[in-house]
Amino acid sequence: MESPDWQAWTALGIVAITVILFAVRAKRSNSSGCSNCGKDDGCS
Amino acid sequence: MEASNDLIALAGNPNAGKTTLFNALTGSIEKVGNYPGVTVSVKQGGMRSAHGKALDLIDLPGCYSLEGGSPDQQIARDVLRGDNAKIPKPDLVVCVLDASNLERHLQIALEIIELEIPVVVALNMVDLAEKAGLRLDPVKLSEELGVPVVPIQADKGKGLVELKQSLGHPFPATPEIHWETGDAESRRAFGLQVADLAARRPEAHTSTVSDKLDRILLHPVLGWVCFIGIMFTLFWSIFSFAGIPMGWIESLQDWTTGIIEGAMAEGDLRDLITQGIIGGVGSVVIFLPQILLLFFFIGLMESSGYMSRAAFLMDGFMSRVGLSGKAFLPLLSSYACAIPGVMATRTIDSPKERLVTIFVAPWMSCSARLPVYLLLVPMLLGGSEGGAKQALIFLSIYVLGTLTAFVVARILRGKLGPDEVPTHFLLELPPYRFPQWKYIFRHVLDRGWAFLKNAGTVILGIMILLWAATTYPKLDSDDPAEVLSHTIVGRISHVIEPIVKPMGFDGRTGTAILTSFAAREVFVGSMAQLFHVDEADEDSETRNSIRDQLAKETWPDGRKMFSPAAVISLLIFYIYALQCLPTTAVVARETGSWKWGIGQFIFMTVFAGVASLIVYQLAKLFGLA
Amino acid sequence: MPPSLVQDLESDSLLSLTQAQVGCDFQIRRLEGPGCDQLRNLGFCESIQVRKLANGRNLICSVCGTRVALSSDLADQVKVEPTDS
Repeated sequence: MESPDWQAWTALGIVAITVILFAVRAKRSNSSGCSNCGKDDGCS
Repeated sequence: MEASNDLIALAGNPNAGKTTLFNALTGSIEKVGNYPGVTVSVKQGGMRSAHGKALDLIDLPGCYSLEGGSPDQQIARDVLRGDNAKIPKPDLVVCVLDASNLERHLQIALEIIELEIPVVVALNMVDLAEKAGLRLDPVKLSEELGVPVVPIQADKGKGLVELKQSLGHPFPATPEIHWETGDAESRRAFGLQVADLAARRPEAHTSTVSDKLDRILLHPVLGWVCFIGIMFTLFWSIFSFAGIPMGWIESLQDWTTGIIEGAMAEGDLRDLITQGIIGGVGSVVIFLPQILLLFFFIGLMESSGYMSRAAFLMDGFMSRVGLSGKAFLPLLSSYACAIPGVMATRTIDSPKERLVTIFVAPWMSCSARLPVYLLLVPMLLGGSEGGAKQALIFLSIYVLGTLTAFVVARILRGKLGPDEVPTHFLLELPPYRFPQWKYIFRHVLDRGWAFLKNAGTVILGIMILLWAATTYPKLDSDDPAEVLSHTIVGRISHVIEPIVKPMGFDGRTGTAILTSFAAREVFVGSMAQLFHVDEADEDSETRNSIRDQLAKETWPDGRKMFSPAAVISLLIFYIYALQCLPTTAVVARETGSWKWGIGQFIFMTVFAGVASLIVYQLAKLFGLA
Repeated sequence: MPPSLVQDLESDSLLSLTQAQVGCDFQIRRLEGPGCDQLRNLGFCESIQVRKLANGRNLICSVCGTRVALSSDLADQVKVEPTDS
C-alpha cells in the first residue's frame, strides 16, 4: 500500500509540536522552580 | 489570591480536624486522615461568609506550639507571624480545637491570641467529647478566653452556619490577656485552668472501643500478626486482584488498535498512533488499577487511625537502622510513589533522620517499576504469567529494594552523626474512627487522575519523540534492522552499546533504559517500539508479544540476548536506579538544595549500574548467560 | 513493684513514668530533661493525670483523654506520683 503524503506530514507536525511543548515546559519549570510533576499535593 | 478579600487561616494542633473543616467550608477535596500531620503544606481556597462576602481561606499544617518543631510546623508559624514571603498575615485565625482534649489544644489558641490577631475558636468533634463523658461549656470557654467559641462537628457539617456567622465583620477584637505574655509557664497554667472550667472530665477512666482494639493491635505478639496480615492483604490484592481491571484496559487497547488499523491506510501517522501513542502510553496506563489500589489501602489505614499504630509497631525495627517509627508512613507511601513519600517526611522531627528517609525512599519499589517487573519476571519463568513462582520473585524484588534501603540508611545515619538537639519518638495514637469513604474515594480518584494526566502529557510526549527517533532519518530499505540502525536511535545505541554490554544489554535495551530516565514506566513502551513488536490483534496480551519478540532476539554470534543473566541484571538495574525526574525535583525542594537531589540521583544510578554489572558477570560465571 | 518500695520512692523521690506500673493512674509532678517542650506540647504538664497503658521500648499512656506513644527516654523525664484512687 502506498503511503499517503499527508500522513507523513501530519506525523512530522505532531513530532514538531511535541518538541516545542517540551521546550516551553522546560523553560517554564526552570523559571518557576516547580517540577510541575502532576502530583496535586506537590507544590506548596 | 485577591488582595481585597479578607484572609482567614485555620490553625490548631495536628489531627484536630482542620482540613475536614477546610473541605466543609470551601467544598474542596483536600486529603484528610486520622494521622497527625496529613497536611504538610498550606492549602488555599475560597468561601463566603454568612452575608455572602467572599473570603480567602487557608489551611495550615498542624502545630503544637509556635516554638520549635518540624518543617511543616514552621510553615504554620511563619504564616501566623506574618513572616511568610508568599502569604500575607491572616486577618482572622480560626483555631480548631479538639473538644476531647482541651488541656492540650488550648495552648496553641492562647499563643495565637498573644499575637494580637482576631481569633475565633471552633470547638471540633464535640460529639466524640460528649460521648467520652466530658461536660463541655462553650459559653464559659468564650467568657474565659474573651473570643467567640463555636461548637462544631466538621465531619458531619454541623455548626458551620454559626461558624460562618462569627466570621462576619467586624472581626472580634483582640481580647484582654489574663496571663503574662511570652511566659510559657503562666500561659500553660491559664490554659489548664480554663480547660478545667470549660470541659469537666469524668472521674473514672473509661475503657473505650479504641482501648480494646489497641489491646489486640498493639499487643507484642498479636499486634505483629495483625500487622503482617494487613500488609500481606495489601500486597496480595495489588498483585492478584488488580489483574482483572488490567485485563479490561488491555483489551480496550487492542480493540482501539484494531479499529485504527482497519480505518487508516498504512503510513507514518498510523505508525505513530498505533506504535507510539497507543502502544507506548497504553503500556503505562495499564498499571492504573494497581496504583489506585495502593492509594486506597494507604488512605484506609490513615483514615481509620491504624497508621499511627503501624508506626508504633515499626519503631523498634526502624530504630535498628537509625530511623524511627515516624519514617514508616513515608516509606510505605513510597511503595506507591516516592513523591508523596518524600513529602510525608515533613512530619519527622529530626532533620537528619528526615534526610536519610528522603534519601532511601526511592528504593521502596514504587508502582512505576511494576510495568518493568511484570514484563521481565515471566521471562525468567519461560514466559508464563502468574503462579507462585512469580509471586515469590516479586516478593524478593521488594525485599531486596527495602533491605538495601535499610542498610544504606544505617550507614548514612551513622555518617551524619547524632542530631544537635536529640529528638525522641513521641506520637499521638488517635482514637479509631470509621473511614471517611467519601474522602478516600475522591483522593484515590485524584491520584488516578494525576497519573493519567502524567501519562497523557509527559509520557505521551516522550513516546512521540521516541517514535520519531526510531523513524527518522528514513532509509529506503526492506531490511528493518538496517532501517533502524540508520535512525537517530540506531546511532545512539551504537554509541552506548560498549557501555551497557558488560551489563548484558545491547544498544537497543540501553536506549530503552536511557528513555526511561525521565519516567521508568516508559521502558516497556520503549522496548515495544525499539524491538518492533507488532500489536497483538486478538485479546492476547501485548506484553506476551513483547516477550515473544525479546525471546527471539539474539546477539550476532547467535547467543540468546535475553538470557536469564541479562534479565536478572536488568531487574537489578530497575530495582536500584532512580529514574524519575519529578522525584529528583521534589527531593531538591524538600532538602532545600540541589546537592541532595542530584547526589541521590548519581549515587543511585551508579549503584544500579555497578550492581547490575556485578550480577551479570557473576551469573555468567554460573552459566546463566 | 512491691508496695513498700513504692512508698519508699514516694517519700524521698518521685517515680519516673518508665518505672510506673501499667494500668495505674498517676499525677505528673515534674518534667525534667531536654524533651520537656516536646512533652508539654502533647499535654504532659504538671498536675495532669496520666494513665500508663503499656510498657516496652515505647510506652503507651493516656493523657487528657488521648493516647500517646512515647520512647522510654522521654518517659524517664516525666516524674509522676501515684494517685489515691
